[in-house]
Amino acid sequence: MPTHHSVLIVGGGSGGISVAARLRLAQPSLDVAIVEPSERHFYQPIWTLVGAGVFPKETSLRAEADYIPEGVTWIRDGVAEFEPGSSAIKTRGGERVTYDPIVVAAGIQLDWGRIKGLEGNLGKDGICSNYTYDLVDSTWRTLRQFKGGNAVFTFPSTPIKCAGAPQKIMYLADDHLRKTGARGRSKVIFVSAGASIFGVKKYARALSKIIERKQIETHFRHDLVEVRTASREAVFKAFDGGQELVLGYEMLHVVPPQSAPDFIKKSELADKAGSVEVDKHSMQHTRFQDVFSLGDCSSLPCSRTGAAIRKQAPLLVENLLALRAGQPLRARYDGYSSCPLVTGYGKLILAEFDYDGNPAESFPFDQSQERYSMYALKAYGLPEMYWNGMLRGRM
Amino acid sequence: MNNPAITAQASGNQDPSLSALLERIDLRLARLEAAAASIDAIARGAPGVVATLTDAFDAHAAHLAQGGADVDERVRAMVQLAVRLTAPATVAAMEMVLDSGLLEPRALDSLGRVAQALASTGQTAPAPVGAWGALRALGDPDIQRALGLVLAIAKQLGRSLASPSVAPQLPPPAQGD
Repeated sequence: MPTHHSVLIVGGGSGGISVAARLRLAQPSLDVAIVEPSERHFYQPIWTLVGAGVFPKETSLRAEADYIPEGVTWIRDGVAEFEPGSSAIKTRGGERVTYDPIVVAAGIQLDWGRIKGLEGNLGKDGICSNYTYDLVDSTWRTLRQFKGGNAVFTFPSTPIKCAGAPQKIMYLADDHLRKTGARGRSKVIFVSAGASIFGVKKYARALSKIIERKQIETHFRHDLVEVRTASREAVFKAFDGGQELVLGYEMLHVVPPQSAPDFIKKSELADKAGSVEVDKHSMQHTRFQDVFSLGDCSSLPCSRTGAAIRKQAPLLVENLLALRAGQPLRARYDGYSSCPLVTGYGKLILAEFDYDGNPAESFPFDQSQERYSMYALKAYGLPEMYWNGMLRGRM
Repeated sequence: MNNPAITAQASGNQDPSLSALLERIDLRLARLEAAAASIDAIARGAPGVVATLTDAFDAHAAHLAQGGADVDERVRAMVQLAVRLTAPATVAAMEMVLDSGLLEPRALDSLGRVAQALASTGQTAPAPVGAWGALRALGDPDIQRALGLVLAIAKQLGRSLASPSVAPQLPPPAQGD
C-alpha cells in the first residue's frame, strides 16, 4: 500500500525546505512531505570564506531536523526512481510514495571521477577544493603551507553551483599570499572552461581590472581533464582544437564537473543534459504537469545560487497552489540570480542579474565597485537571512 | 475645510452636530494627507540617502585598507572586545574598580605622576646605587618629597590591611568570554 502526500518534495536543501516552509505558511493544514536522506544541512555559500580561513567550517553546519517545517513529514530516505506517469516515486528503501504535485529540488552531483587521477588524492599534496564540507578546510591548510610556485584555480566545462566561487577563492588566496610574502615567489593562475571571467559585462569589466591589478594569469576555454600527482602537473584540454595545456602546481584548487543526480538523469523527468526539464518561467515540467523543479537540478538556464532559489521558491509555490486550485499558472521567474564576488579579505562586488545578463541590482549604488559593506553583508548578514528568513519561508 | 465635498455638505447642513462631525473628519483627513506626503518624501529620498551613506562608509573602509588595516579583522576584534567587556565577570570587576577610589581625582593625579616618573626614568638606564649612595640621596629634596608620599601611602595601606577585605566574589567567566 503506497503512502500518499498532497505535496511531495524531493530534497531537503535550500529549495526543498524553502518551498515546504512557504507551502505550510500559505496553507497550514496542507499535507507536505520531504524526502531527504541527510541529517546535516549546510550553508554552502560560506565555504569560500572557510577555505580562506575566515570562519571554521562548523559555522556552515546545522541539523536538518531543526529546519524541517512544523507539520511536514520527513521521509529519511533517498529517491531510487521516479514514476511520473503514475505520480509516484520509489525510495531506496523500497517504499512507494504517491503525490498530487511533486517538487524536485535534489541539488547537484559532484562528478570528481570525470577528472583522471583525482580520486584518492583530494585534500592532500597541494590538491584542495572548497566544494564539499569534508574538503573545505584542505584549502586553508594548503594555503597556509604554500611557500611559492604555481597556485592554479580551475573552472570546469559543466554548469556548476555558484559559478563565482572558483574565482573568489583565487582572489582571497592572492590576498593571503601577499600578506605572507609568498606572492613574490608564486604565480596565481586561473584556468577556465568558460570564454571570459564573468558572463555579465558590467561585472566582467570590474573583474578584469582586478585580475590585472593582482597580476593573475588567465587561460580561458581550457578544461581540467587529468591530474598527475607524481609530477604535480595539471592537464587541461583546450577547446577549439588548441594545444593541451600542462601546468605544474604547488597548489591546485579543483572545482569538480557537476550534473543533476543520477536518479534524475536516468528518469523520464530529465532533459538531454540530465536536468529536470521545466519551463524556465513557470518552473512546471514541460511534459508532466504535476511536476515542478527549482534550484541546481532543474533545467532553469540561470546561475545556480542560493539567491536564485530564494526568488524561485515563492513563485513556484504560487504556481503549485494555482495548479491545485485549478487556476492558470501566472507567476513567472525572470532568471534572477546573485553572486557575491569576494575579491579579497573585506572586499566584495555584489553581482545581481537576470536571464538576459542584465544587472538586476537591489541597492541604489554601483554594485560593481569593491565594497566592505557588501563583504560584511555576505559574511554576517546573508547567513542569518538564510537560516532565519529563507529556510523559514519568510524571505 | 479642505475637502470640497465635505465642505459643501457641512455648509449646506442645518444640523449643527453633523456639521461639527464633518468638520472634524475633514480636519483628520487633512492631517492624514500631510502625513502621507511626508512619508512619500522620505521614501523618495531614501535610496539617495542609503547610497550616500554606503558610499561614504565604503570609501572610508577602502581608505583604511589602503593604509594596511584589515578592516574586517578590526570589526571582528571590536565585536570580540565588546563580548569580553560586557561579560558579567568583567562588568563586576569594572564596578570594583569604579568603587575602589582608583578614579578619585587625587588618586588619578598621584598615579599620573608615578606614570610620568616611570616613563622619564625608563628613557635612561639609572646608575647602580649602593648603601652610601642611598644615604647621600636622602639629602635630595625631590627624593625626600617622594619618600614622604611613599610613607603616607604605607600608613593608609597598613590601616586598610588591618581590616578584612570587602571585595565581592567575582562571577566565573562564561564560555566565549
